[in-house]
Amino acid sequence: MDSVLALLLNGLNSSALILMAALGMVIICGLMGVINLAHGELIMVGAYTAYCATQLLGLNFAAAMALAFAAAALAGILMEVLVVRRLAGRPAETMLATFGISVLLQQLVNIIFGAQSQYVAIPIKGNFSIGKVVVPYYNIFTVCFVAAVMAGTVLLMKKTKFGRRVRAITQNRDMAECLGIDSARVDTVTFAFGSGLAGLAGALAAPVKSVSPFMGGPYLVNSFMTSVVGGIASFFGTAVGSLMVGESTALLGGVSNDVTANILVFLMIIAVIRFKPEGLFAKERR
Amino acid sequence: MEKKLCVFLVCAVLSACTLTGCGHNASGGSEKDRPIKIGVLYSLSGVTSVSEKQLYDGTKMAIQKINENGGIHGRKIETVFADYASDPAKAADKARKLILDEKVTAIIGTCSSSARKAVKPVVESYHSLLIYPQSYEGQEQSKNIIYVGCIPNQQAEIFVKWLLKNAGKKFFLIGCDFVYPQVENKLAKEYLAAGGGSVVGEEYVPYGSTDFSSVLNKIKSSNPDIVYSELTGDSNVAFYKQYHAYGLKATIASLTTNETVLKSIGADAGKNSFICVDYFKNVENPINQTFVKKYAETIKDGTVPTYAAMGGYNGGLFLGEALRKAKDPENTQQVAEAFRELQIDSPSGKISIDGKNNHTRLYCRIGKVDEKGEIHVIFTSEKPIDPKP
Repeated sequence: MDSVLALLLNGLNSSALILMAALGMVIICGLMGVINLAHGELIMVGAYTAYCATQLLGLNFAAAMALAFAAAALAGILMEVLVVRRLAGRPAETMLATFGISVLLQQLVNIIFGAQSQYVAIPIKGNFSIGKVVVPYYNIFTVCFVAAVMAGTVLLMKKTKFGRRVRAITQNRDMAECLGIDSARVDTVTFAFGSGLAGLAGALAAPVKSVSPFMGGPYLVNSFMTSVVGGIASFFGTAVGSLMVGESTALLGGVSNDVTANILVFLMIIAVIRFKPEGLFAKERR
Repeated sequence: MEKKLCVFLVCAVLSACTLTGCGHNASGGSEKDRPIKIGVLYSLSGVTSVSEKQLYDGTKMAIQKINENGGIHGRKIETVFADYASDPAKAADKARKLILDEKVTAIIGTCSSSARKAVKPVVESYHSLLIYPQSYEGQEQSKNIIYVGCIPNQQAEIFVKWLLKNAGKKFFLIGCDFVYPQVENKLAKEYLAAGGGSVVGEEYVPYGSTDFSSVLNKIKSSNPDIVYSELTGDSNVAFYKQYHAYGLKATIASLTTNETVLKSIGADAGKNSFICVDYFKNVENPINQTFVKKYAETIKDGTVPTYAAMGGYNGGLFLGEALRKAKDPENTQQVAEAFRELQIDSPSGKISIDGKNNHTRLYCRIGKVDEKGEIHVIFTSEKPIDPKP
């Protein structure tokens, strides 16, 4: 019993990290229709910013997270203005270009910082136990923080003027433009916000994972899987998707091993998109 | 198509032979000044570039040292570098180019076993020579490969015995899911059975995985004394960090952690763990002190020399010595002969090549990590251990 509870709690923590990484992708891919293969590298930019801020500049972790958001958002703006915008409506070229950017960012960081992984201290040390189950304080922080970011993002999209504009463009770009919405500007801001969230994910993962030039790959795969399972434009769906991936990896890993768990989770995802190609919680599109 | 390729290759090789033959006759006088070409084959890009950068730096320093000290009987060593971008197929291709186009006497390089296994048939079919600088799982021999890194009987066997005596009997084995950890863990189980230890768990994670929630749970419930690890790269770093965050108490004993990895793990998560390799930066002897100083002056990327850098360095020194000993340093056959029982004074001690199997007699060292993240060498084998691949 203890062990199942421990697995569920651990799974919740991995789900939160997956969700955090996927949120930015949902915004960019779901709302703008851009498949950004450099998403993992934006997470890496966030993680390296956290490293520079805490280890080199001596700032605290909260400041590091803010900077990580800003740095990744800035990288996102550059990407959108210089590349993505110019390839609007050409998904294959966009994928190729963003893949190119991902390699560029990897090698750039490799040249500047070296290939070795960097150290980011864990900001909240210690753990507590419920019976035999040990929960690190940082896991609690992770889950709460991700829940807050998720709530904030949903509010931003549902309740603010900016959010309404984004949704209007998502539903019908031409019509929205006719109604006087500057779609180019909204695109840039949306891309920046999605990238910023990716940066935040990087900073959040940095103390418990590895910070290296090639760390982005697995995050990209995980984010893509969860957003596809959940329905690509749905925040709620992505939350459920990440819970499914995180918890089932943890539980299956618990009863068998991580390699088998990975295979089974992939099979599950294939089954989901076979029977619900739009994802579990896809919005109806007009 | 294949036939055409064969004919072409034969022609290419023949013409290459004639051309070099001509060169010898025509430029007899200048031969003494011409540099000796060797190939350097590492990945400075791609996933294995973390460890290969260190191998590369080590090799670079060794060749620099040889050239600064007058080269090989007055002739400089010229390195031709090729980056195979962590791709074994590309490694084989680049090795072929180094041998056929650049006509190098020998190649020093490759890191993962898959890359070495891809290059092996190439050096064998062209009768060339590969100096392999990395520690690996053993169980291979070739007259065209000189193995400079340590193999299980020089590392794991001694480590397991030492751990059984000094740290505990119950082992939990963990590694990334590829050949090296699987072979090492299989051997560890044999050593444990022989030494009276037990295995309470064995887990593999996908290569590059950084989420250890279910593994940590299993470690906790199986209650081992030692967590015996061959995790590599990002997985290794993430494992130590999460292990510490979950407050697990068993001692981590690793075959793959080094000074650079430890820096990214942090002193908090790394302290009190054990590492077993053939060389640590903190080895105490005058040659090593000079080497560590020189490393800091030459390789300005904030790293310190690790066993990987030492593998690359030893490989370079051995090759230099062999070139010096061979009558004609451009005759690969003679150079390969010269490696037999060759001895060098390396920062890791007096080490030599075992002529029976082309592997290296190396010291075995165990280090313990202190509160500041420094590695203290707490065990050194009395003499270099004979390799038994």
